[in-house]
Amino acid sequence: MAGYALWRIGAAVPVLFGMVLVVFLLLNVLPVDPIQVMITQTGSGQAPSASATQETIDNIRRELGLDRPLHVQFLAYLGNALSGDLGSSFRSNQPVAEMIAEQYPYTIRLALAGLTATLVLGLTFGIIAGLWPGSLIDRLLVLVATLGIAAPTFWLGLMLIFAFSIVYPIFPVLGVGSLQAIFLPAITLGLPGAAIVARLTRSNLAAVMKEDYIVTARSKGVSGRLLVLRHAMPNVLAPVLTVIGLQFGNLMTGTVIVETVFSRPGIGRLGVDAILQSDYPVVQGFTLVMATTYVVVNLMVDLIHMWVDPRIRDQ
Amino acid sequence: MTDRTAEPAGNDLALAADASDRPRPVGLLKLFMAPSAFGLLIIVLLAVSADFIAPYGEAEIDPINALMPPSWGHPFGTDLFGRDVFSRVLYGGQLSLFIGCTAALIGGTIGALVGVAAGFFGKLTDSIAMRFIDILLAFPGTLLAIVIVAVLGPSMINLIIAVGIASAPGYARLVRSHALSLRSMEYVTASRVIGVRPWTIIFRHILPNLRNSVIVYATLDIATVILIAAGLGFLGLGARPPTAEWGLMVADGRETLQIAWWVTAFPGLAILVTTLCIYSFGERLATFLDPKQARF
Repeated sequence: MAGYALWRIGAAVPVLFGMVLVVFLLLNVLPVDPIQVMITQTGSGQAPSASATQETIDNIRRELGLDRPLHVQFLAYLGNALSGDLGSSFRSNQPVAEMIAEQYPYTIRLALAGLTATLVLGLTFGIIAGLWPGSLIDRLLVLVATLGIAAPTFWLGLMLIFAFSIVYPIFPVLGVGSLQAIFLPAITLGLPGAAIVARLTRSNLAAVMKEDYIVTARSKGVSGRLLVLRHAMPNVLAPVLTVIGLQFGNLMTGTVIVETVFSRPGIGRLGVDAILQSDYPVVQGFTLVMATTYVVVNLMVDLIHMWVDPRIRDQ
Repeated sequence: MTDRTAEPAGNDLALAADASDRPRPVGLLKLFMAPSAFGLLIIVLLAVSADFIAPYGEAEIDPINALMPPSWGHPFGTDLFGRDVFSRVLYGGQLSLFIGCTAALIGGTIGALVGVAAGFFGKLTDSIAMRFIDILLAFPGTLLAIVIVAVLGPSMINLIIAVGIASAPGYARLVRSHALSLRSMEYVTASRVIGVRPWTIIFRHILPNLRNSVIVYATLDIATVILIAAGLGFLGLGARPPTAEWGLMVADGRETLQIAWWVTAFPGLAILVTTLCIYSFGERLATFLDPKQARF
């Protein structure tokens, strides 16, 4: 098991390296010259100043190391990134790592709240529908789940705000700290994932309930909650766990939209603003942090999977 | 010549492979009689004829009638500038369907070519292509599309290219796995032996066999692409105002949500209904064209 775990951790490294490389290459074949962007945007963000001579441009280029060959630049970027230096914003000159560190906790908190919503809603409704397949409640849930997948998150969030903050003011529209304020964002973020988890749980549970070992357990007198939770669920949860890991990617990028809808701080908002302002170092940092989080979460999910599944654990 | 021998051989194998668990294909008539097909047809007709049936222009402002609730004159109400939301939803439909189809076409073309090359040539080509695709697929959710928009700069065309490229890895993976199994077919070996050039084999013998799987995947992908594009539009990474784009329209209504829910509600509802119709039609298409791939 330890061998497999090490191998799995080792396999994540080249993927991460590849992702850094792709992001670096993409943002370094820009059709616009970053220096030009800097000159037009630093300070008060005025119109391009005519005073920027070729000499000034060359100086900045040399200062930033942009005159070096691409592979040298990449290795330098990688080295700096590993030591926590992601460059500085073109606009505010603030270190990118600092900007991200400020906003990251908000995004993670939101993503975890969304994950909780996904799990609670998805498993609850999935179990109910899976236990009584074909019933009215089952068909209703399948319909709602389909709607949940097809509905655009940003619209759903605004409709929830309209319903539960404006028409029935149960939750605050704005606010960051309180548990109440994160409720609607979490539901918005978690709902598409919940729909997928519910469908998967439903079909898996319905299939597992027909298995011989469940019939045996039932005939031996095991019943109700114990039968479902102790006997059926472990086999239902394994694939669900994998899907949750994959869904976490959608949760991470979903925060970009949810942060905008609910006017919450976070790296998603930071990233989108950076794109709109052509602030490439921030875009690069934002992408790296998002991608790394996703890879690490999936690594963790795989390790948990290994740990809870005795078939893999005892190998 | 090789063409004619190829077709039946491919079909025979497909039949043998999944004869056991293959659901009876629904008839063509039944496919197009489905409510989803009917809904989709109406959506497409409405979008295509937007120029003729929209009661108002796309950006026709009328400040006196700003933020009017839905009425007979304005079925979906009017927005902050007095523009008719119903007309704008129609124009937005034109744009969304165009984005969906073009981006799926871009992604499908790139993905299918890379995938078929990887699967058919195997060895080093396959290893390199698949490692690259694995890395692209490791980008969570819409992040890849967001990065590509960042590189190209936010605009409508760039959004289409970005979403298209971001959906390519999915096609590549699907096509590769099919191409892998097809390349060892006898008729492919036969073509190779008589000296048919590799890309000729790919275009005449491999790709035609993948057509159904790709069509089913692309149909579902159009819905996904519309959702992603609308999301990026909502963030301001796509069309510029006053273009009627569904995501942008939802974003416009955000400021006036408290007093005019209809500005936000209807464009979003349009997205929901459209993706729902495409998803369910895609499912039906899957049972019809490609039973093995049918999911959900």
